[in-house]
Amino acid sequence: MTDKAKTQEAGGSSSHEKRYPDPYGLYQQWFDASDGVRKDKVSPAELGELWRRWFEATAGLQGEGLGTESGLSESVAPLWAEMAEDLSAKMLSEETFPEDPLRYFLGWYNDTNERWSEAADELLREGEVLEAVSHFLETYARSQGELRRVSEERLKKLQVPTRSDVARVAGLVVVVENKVDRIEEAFEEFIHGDSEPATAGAVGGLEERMDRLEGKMDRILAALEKLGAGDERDLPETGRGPGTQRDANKTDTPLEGLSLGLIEAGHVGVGAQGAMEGTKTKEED
Amino acid sequence: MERGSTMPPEVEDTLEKYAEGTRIMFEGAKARTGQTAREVVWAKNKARLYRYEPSAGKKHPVPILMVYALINKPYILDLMPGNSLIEHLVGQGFDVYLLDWGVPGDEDENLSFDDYVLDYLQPATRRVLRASRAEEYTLFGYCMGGTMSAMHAALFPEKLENLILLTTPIDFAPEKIGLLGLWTNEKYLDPDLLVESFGNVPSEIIDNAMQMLKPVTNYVGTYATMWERILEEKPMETWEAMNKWVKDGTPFPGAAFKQWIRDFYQQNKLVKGEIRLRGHRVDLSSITCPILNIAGKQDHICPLPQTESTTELVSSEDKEFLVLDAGHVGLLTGRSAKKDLWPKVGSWLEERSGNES
Repeated sequence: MTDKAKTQEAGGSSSHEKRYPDPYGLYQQWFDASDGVRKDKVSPAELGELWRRWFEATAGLQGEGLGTESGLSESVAPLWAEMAEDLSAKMLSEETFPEDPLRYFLGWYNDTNERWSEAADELLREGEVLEAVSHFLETYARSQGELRRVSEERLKKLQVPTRSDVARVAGLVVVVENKVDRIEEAFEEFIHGDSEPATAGAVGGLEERMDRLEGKMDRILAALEKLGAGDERDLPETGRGPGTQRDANKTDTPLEGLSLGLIEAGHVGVGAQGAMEGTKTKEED
Repeated sequence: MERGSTMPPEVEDTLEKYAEGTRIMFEGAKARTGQTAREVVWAKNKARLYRYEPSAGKKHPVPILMVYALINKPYILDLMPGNSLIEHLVGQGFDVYLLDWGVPGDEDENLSFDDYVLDYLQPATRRVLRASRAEEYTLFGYCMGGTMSAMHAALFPEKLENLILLTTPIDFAPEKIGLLGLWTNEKYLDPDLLVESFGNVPSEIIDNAMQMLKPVTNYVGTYATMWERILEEKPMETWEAMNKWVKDGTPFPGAAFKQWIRDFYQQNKLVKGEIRLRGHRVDLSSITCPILNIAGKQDHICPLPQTESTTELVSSEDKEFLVLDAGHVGLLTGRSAKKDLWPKVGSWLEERSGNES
């Protein structure tokens, strides 16, 4: 490969930067070395040195990523470092170096991942690690909470709407939305449900039934009062209430005009209305 | 290879592969997910009720309502064409609905399980019955969505025809929940502090906690698989779709998070019958409908022992506990899912969902 081609294809050229992203310049060194080995320009020692630099760079990258992104460097970073060292030592101890570091890494990973998984699992169960993670999470939460509180206060002073202001408005929108949803549901229940529209005829019919029911109730009450008056004759004076005296002179047989279909039907509770409808006087018959 | 390049073809090829892998690692996986045709039949706040109507005609009158967890997004149930449980069931002639909780905003900080089960899930079941003109429905809950479905089933057993719980945590006894039991211990985790500080608990915290359950596999193995597939020129669509989903988390609504950690993980109230949603006691023994309880042998998010007791707690006569040799997500997607889970769910439902006359 020519120098020009190397520069262009390995990421050095601006026109190819996007095509082959190589932020750490690792590919370039690597392909340079591969090419050099082919042409006997690079010695195995030099290639070994290149690999060492590659491992140092990637191990650092890994540690940095863990520390900044998840904040769990205290618990897991040592494990990663150990893994990287293990990989590096294995490779550098061999006489020939792999042409493709990724293929080598994948082979190494497939051979050892179970061991590392078990080690990680053990590590994550250790009291010290749990304490450390808990402490980190607590500190992180408190600092974020404080940051949030301070930001809110500053923005309020600057007369700038804050997230909580927006959340309050959004909360109101949600309340309105819920009300609309309930109305919508009531309408849909009406349209798709079993309920039928109340026509004038239906309402009139209902009124008529109510009147009949009221009349029957009146008659039952009257009959009961008559019955009560009859019994009162045997009761001492003290047992009489004010209401009982009013009808004391009525001596008609109390329930003789009723067939008592209510009792016979044996309806109770919700069904009682139906039972009442079924109660007929002799007069009606 | 570009015209004029002097680079040997094998180097060019390797560079292309490295470029692809590096792009995915830096830019994130891009994949088109959730492509099965659907329509929104109901919306409330951030939640959406989607209907996936079988295009070839409905074969079974009992619709299926799928309920997903409050974290991550439900498109894992409809990952991509050819790798979607929803697509499979729709293809079998089922009328499928999916309740997507949406992404909670700051204003949803006070939403609790009481709200989600009583004000969202319950109305959603009514909408499903109405839209399908059905008398009964099947409830299908995945992960935390299964816990919510079980609570709903216990409170409203009337029109529930079948219940399917997929990798659903029910029993949170510390000895049954593995690492999560340790991490959520009162000594190490104060949910009130997190909610007080963040409002809704950020998805990054939840995602990292989930990934740290298997750090080597999740942080290294995932990318080892990616590089292997790229180098061996295997299709990348499924890997990209899965990776996109794994990183596509949603915040956990504050009030619900507090309940989830305190009442479920720390106090194990559900199996004790001590969970109350707005005063209504959740008694799992009220569930009498046929139930299919499915667990993964390799599931580390909802370990097997956490799901086992469900079948014992319900009063259903028709109940089955199915254990598959898969993990929490692998159970649902991929080659083994197509071979094991999908046909099982399909046939179990077919026997219990009637036939359209």
